[in-house]
Amino acid sequence: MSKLYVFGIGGTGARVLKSLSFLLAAGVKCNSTSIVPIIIDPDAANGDVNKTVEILQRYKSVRSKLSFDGENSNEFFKTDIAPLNSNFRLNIQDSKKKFKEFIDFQSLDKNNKALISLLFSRKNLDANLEVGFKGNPNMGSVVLNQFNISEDFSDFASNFSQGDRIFIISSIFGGTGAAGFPLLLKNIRSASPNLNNHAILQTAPIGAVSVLPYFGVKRDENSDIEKSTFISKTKAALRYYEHGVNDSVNSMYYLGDKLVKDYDNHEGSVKQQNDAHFIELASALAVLDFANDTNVTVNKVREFGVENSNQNLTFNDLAGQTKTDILKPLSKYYFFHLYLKNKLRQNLGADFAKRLGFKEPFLNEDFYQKLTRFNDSFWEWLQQMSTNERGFSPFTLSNDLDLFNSIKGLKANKSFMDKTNNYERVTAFLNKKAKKMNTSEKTENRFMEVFYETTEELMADKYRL
Amino acid sequence: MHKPYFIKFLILSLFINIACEGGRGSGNRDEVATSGSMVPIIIEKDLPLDATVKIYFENTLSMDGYINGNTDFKDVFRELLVAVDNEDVIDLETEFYLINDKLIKESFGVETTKIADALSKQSISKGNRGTSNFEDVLNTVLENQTGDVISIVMADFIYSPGNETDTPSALNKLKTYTKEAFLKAGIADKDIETTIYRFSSRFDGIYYNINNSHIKGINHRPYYYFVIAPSNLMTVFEKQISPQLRNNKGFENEISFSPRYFENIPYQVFSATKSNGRINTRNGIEIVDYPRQGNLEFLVALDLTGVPLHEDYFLNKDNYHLGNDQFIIKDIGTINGKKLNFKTEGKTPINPSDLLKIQGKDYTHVILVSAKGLVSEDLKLSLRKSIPTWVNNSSSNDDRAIKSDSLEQTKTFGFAYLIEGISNSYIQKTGSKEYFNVKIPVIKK
Amino acid sequence: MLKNLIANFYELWGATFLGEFSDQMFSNNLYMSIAMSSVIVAFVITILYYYVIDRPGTAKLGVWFIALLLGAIASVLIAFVSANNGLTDVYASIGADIPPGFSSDMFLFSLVNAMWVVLLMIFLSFIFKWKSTNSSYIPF
Repeated sequence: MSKLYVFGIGGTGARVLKSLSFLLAAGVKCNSTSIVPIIIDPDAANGDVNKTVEILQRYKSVRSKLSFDGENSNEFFKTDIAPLNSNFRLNIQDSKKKFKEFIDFQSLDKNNKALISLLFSRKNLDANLEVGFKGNPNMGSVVLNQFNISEDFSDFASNFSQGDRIFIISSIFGGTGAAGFPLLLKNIRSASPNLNNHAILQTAPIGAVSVLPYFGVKRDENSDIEKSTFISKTKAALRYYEHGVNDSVNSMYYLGDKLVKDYDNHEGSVKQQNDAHFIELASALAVLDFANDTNVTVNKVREFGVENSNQNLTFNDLAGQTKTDILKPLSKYYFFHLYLKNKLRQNLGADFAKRLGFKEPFLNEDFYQKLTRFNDSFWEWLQQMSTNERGFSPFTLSNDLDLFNSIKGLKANKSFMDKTNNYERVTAFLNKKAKKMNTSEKTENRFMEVFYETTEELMADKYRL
Repeated sequence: MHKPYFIKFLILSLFINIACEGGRGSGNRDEVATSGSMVPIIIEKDLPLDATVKIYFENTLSMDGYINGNTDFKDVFRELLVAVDNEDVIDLETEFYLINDKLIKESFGVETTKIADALSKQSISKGNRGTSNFEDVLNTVLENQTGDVISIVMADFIYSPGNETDTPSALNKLKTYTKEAFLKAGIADKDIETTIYRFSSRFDGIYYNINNSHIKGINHRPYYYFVIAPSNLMTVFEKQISPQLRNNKGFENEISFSPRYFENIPYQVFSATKSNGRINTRNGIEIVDYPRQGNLEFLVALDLTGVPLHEDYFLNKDNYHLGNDQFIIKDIGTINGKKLNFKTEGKTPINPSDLLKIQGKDYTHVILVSAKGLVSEDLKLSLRKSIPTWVNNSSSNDDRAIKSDSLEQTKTFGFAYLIEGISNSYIQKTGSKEYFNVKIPVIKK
Repeated sequence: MLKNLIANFYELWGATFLGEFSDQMFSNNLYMSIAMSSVIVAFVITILYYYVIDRPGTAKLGVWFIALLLGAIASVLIAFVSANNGLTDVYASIGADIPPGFSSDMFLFSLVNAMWVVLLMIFLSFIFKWKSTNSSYIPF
C-alpha cells in the first residue's frame, strides 16, 4: 500500500501526467498501489491542464468500476489514480490578481519598492497572474511560495504516510515549472512542524524530472514569451539546482531534445494546448522508473536516451529497456481501442459478447462512454506524437482492415486464417478467451479481462511477444 | 445282402455322380439330384441302397378279363416293370406273386420285364381261384411289407361280402377291417404310405356280381394298383415311376395317403401379382389399403416340394380349408419359372417385385386368396386329408344291374368303403385331418 | 431389430410405406447403407461447421441454415442414387427393369432421408455447439 504523489507543475507537468495516465491505462508496470496526481498551475484555464484533468477524471471513473483482487488477470487501468480533490489541482490563492497586487506593491516602502523594481520589470508587476508566469520564474517563485499556508498542501501532508513517495514534474525553461519545483521541494523537505507527518516528509523519497527545452515558440511581437530565452533560463535554473535541489532530491531525472518544432505562441490560458510530444512520454517513464525503483535512498541522477536518433521514432528506435516496458502494453491498448471503435458494436452477436453478456445497453452506460472517450484521447495523443518533431509514431494509426500491420517495424505472423479480415481474427480470439473465463463477475471486469487476455494472446500469436 | 447289386450300384452311382451336372452329388446322396422326371427332388437321408418291389397279382377268376390277349392292363404292367427296372436311384429288385388265399411267387421262367406278357389265363391258374378273401390278401401283403419293400397289389378290388347277407353291414365291416389292417401294419417303425392308382382297361372276360352271377359283354373295366411303401421309398416311386404310369392313356385317377404331417411349409405372400388393394408383406399380411372396387385379393405362394401328393390334389380348391370365414380361395395355380399357371384363370407372368421375393427359392404353387370384406383374423390355410369325389363316383353299392348300366360298368363295388377304411386308419394314426397348416399373421389397417 | 427400426424411420411407421419400393429396399438391405452414409454426412457437416470452419464470420444463423441445406442436398443425392443403383441391380438379377412408378417413390424416400438428416443435424448442433469457439451461440 504505497502511494506515489506526483506533482505536475505547469503545462509540462500536466502533459506528462496525461502521458502517464495513458501508460497506466495500458497496464505499464507500476509498483505503487496508487498514484496521487496533484497539478500545480495558477493558470486556471490552461488548455493542457484542463485536458489532463478531464482525462484523469475519466481514468478514475473507469477504474472505479473495476476490481483488481487477484481473481482476474486484467492489467488495464490497474494502477489506481486517487486525487486529493475532484479537480486534481492544488489551489493557488489569489491567482486572479495582478502581480503587484499580489506582493502588495503599493504598501511597500520606498526602499523595498526600489528593490522590487530591480528584480521585476514593469511588465512583470503589471502582469495578470491568471495566466501564469509567462516564462518568468522570478514571478513564479514569489507567488508559488504560498505552499506553507495552502490548505491543499496541508491535506497532502496529512495524507502522506510512511513508505509513500513523491515525484515532481516540471519544465526547466518555462515559467511555472521552473519556479515551482524548487519551492515545492523546499516546502516538503522543510515542512513546517504545523503540518502532519512533517517528519516523514522530511525524509520521504523524492524523485523529480526536469524537462529541458524540447520545443520552441513562433516569434510573436505581442507575446512575452520567446524561445531565445529558453536556453538562458535553463542555464540559470540549473545553476540554482546545483545547490538548491540536488541534495533534496533522491532521484533526479533530466530529459530534453534538440529544439525542433515551433509551436504557436500562446501566452497561456485555453490556447496553451501543445501537441503531445515524445519527451512527455519519456518523462512519464521517469515517474514509473522512480515508482518501480527498489532502492531510492541512494541519490542518483538519470538521463534518457534512444537507440536510433531518427526524426520519427518507432519502437525499434528505442533502447531495449524502454521497448520492453512500453511496446506490448501500448500495442495491446492500441488494438483494444481500434476494436472498440470499429467493430464492437457490430459484433454484439458474436460468441464472446453473448457469453459474457455484452449487450447494446452496456455500450450506452457511463463506464463504456467514459472508456471510449478516454480512448479517443489516447488516439489523439498518439496522433499528436506522431506528427510532432521529433515524432514518435510506432503505429500506422490507420483505420483500415490491415490491423496486424499496424506496428511499424514489427512483422506479424501470417496464418492462413488471416486472409479474411484481421478484425475477424480478433473476434475469434475474443471468442476463445471468453470461453475460459468464468462469468460470475461484474460486466465491466469481464469486459476488460477478455480484451486484456485477447490482446495479450494477439501479441503472442502474431508477434511472439 | 445282395453283393453283386451292391457293386453294381457303386459303379452306377459313381457314373451318375460324374455324369451329372458338375458339383452336385459328389457321392453324397443327401444333395439334390435330378431324376428321369427332370424334377429336382431332395432325397431323404435314410434312403436304402436297395429295396424290393413286390408285385402281387390277385389271380381270382374275375381278373381273367384283364389279361386275355393284349390288353391295356398288360401295357401298363409292362411299363411298370420296365420303369422299376430302369429306376436308377435305388437298386430295385422285383418279385412277382400270385395271390388269393395262397401266396405264390412266380416268374414264369422269364426276365422280370417280360412277366407282363407272360400273363395268361393258363399261366396264372394256380391256387384257389375262387373268391379271394380281401382281408387275408391285405394281411398277407402288409405282413410282407417289412424291410425296404414297395408292395404293389394289382386287382379289381371288387368286394365280395361272402356269406354276409346284409350288404350295408358287410360294407361297413370292410371299412372297419381295412382300417384295422392298416393300423396294424403301421406299428412297424417305418411309416407306411399308400397310393391307389385307378386305370381302365379293355376287358374280355366274366364279371361276377354280388349275387355271383356271371355277366359277360362288359368291354371296359377299371382296375387298381395299390402301392404301399415306407415314406422314403414312396417318394422315389412317386417321382421316378408313377409318371410313367400316369402317361398311359388308361390311367384315370389316384389317391394318396400319408401319415406324415408337414410342418413349416415355406410360404411367401405376393403383393404385386394379381393383387387387389395394397398390402405390406414384410411381417405377414399388413393391410395398407382396401381396394376401391372389388374385394381384397392376394397370392400366397407355397413350397410343396416335400409333400408327396399328386398335382390334381393340390389344385383342387375343395381339398383346402380356411380357418375362418374372412377369406376364400379363388383359384390355385402352379409356378413355372417366371409365370404362374392357374387352374381357371390361365397364365400370368409374375410381377418382378414378387419374383425377387422367391428368387433362389423353390416355391411350387400359388393360391389366390380373396377377402370377403374387412379382415382382422390371421389367414389359416390347411390342406385336408380328404377323399376326392372320384372315389365316390367310382364306388358302387349295388352292381346287379351292371350289364345294362354303362355308368355302373365304370364302378367298383364297395370301393368307397375300402378307401374310407384306409383313410380312417391314417387319420387315426396321425391324429390329424390335415397334411399341413399355414398360418399367416394379418395386421389390419 | 435394427433393420426394422431403420425401415420404420424411412417408412415413418407406415405413413410413407411405398408398397413394392419399400419392400424391395427392405428385403435387399438397401436402407442400411443409405442410413449410415447419411448419418456420417450429418456428423461431418455439423462437425465441420462447428469445429473446422468455425469463424466469427460464419457464426451466423444464415450460414448455419446453409449448412443444413447442404446436408439436405447431400442426403437427397445419397438416397436417390443409392436406391436407384441398388434397385437397378436387384431387378437386373431377374432380367427386369425397375418399375417406372419407382421414380416418384425414390424421390419421396429421398425427401424423408433429407428430413431425418436435417433433424439429426439440428440435434447434433445442440450437442456440438457448446465446444465451438466462435459458434457456440448458433443457432442460439
